[in-house]
Amino acid sequence: MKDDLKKCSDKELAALIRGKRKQSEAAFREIYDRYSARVNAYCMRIIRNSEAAEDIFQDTFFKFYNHVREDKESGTIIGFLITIARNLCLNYKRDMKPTVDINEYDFLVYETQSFEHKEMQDLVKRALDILEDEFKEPLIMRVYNGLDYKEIAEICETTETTARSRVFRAKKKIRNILKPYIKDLEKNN
Amino acid sequence: MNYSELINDFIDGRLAPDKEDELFLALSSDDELRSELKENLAIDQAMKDDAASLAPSAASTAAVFSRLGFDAPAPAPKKSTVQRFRDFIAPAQKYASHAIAGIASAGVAVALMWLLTGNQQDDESSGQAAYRADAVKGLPVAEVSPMQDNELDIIIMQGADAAIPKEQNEKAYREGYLAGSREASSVFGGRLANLEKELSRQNALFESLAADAMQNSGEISGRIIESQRLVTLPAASVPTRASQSFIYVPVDTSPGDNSNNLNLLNFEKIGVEAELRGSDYRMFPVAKMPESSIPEFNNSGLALFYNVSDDFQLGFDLRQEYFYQEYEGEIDGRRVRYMQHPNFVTYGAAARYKFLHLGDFTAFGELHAGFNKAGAVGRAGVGVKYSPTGDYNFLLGIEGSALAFKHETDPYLARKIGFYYGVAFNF
Repeated sequence: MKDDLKKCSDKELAALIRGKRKQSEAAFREIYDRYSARVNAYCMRIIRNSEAAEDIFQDTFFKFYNHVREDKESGTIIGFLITIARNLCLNYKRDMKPTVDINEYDFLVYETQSFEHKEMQDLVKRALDILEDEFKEPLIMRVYNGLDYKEIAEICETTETTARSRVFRAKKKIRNILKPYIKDLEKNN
Repeated sequence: MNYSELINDFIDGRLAPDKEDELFLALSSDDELRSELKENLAIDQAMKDDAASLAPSAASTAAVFSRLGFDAPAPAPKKSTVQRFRDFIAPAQKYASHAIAGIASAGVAVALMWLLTGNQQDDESSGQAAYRADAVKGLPVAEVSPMQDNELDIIIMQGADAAIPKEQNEKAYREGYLAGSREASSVFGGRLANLEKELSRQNALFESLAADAMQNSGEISGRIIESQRLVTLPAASVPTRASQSFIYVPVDTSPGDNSNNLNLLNFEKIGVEAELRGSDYRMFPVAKMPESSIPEFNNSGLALFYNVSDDFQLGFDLRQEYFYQEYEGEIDGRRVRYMQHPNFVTYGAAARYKFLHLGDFTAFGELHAGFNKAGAVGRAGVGVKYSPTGDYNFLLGIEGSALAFKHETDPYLARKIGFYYGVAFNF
């Protein structure tokens, strides 16, 4: 049965979730296997607090299952999951009171020496941290979650052109932030 | 559409074929555009790798399923022993090359120390000292002489005349070596009849050597006596000296001349001191991130000092070291705090003044001024030098360092304090 489920489309899996409990559980497992890493990546990169990000990740799948069971319209599954996660993240941010001065909070690791690749990853992660949400969100949805621009536009409630423009500008900003290091990287190569 | 947008679309996989041709044509003649493409590709890859590393934790997965009333997914298959061992040593692998380099350098240092000082110890503790003790205390030489060894003996008898009166030398030879030879002849006279002639010849040779040695005791220095067993005797307790032959190799050296020593430092000093140093530091402010990389020789250095006078040295200092840097900048109108913890190669000039001498210990203060790729470096420190011989010293000290650097137009200072240790060789 498990192998059969792997061949199912998102819509078929959603339909199975609405079925009998055993089928529903198996379909949910398949969906979880397919998309949990992407949802987790979204939560982890949008919310800086990893404990809070884990809570949001769990809530996302809980809400997703209940919504689908209630036969609510969901579009693509990954789009629906990210929409839920995004709303939970926005709620979390709204409820969060700033605890440190913005100048203290915004920081960036900027290295002048050669790095292992993992450290490049760390640099990008920290660069993402200082991007404004309006740029960071579409960039993460595009690169981390693999959503197309139409889905990004729907989730962010904007136009496709705007979504594309924001992703482009987000990448440009990250490149500017990391420019001194990347220049050095090129020299070393 | 500008080329930056084309590059973005290309990486995104959305660039139309005709635009792709346009982009590639531009890339072929524009270095800056190629750099931009490389930078974008590097960032894109790093983000994809970051995404791939963000799988949910087992605890999160279990919590999701538990809340829905489902059984938690089966745990991942048990790792093989090899895999578990790899996981266990994985954190250490990052430091493996550094550890190997450390062990290798320690080995080289020990070997160097042995080469530099080994023969000085020989002079004091081996053949001559044993010989001297036997002669002075009048003990039977046969009991303690190194020539009792059944294996090949090479005895370097240097400077014996300086410490042992001629009469005692002669007494020791006659009571010990010669008596031992005769004793063996007596005990095994019958059974070793076929060796009598050989033994007689050996004893005659030995007596001749001993007599010669006594007569020329002032010239023993630097001579080498080599002994070797000729036959294997049935009883190990039998004084073996009788079965040894002696080859006396005269060496024309004057008394007290140590030129036969394998002492690499035993030449005229030119007043230069070479130091190898290790160090450990604490950053101020305290570093909020780990070091950027682990180079082979981090926090180690090499210094050369010239003795301007007995108490004053000038030198050159080269080291690999970390500085933790914090500074601020502005990106898109927002203040950003930068942090970095890179390793630098620092070049510097150094001055050292010895202000206190207590036996083998010397206290000194030193100042350094240098630079690395980030800016100017200054240091001040005090230390103690222990000099067991004139050839080498051990160092221990504390040191404060500061790196002055600029970001945009603002000056910043990175500071650290720590201790250093090392060994120095005098040339």
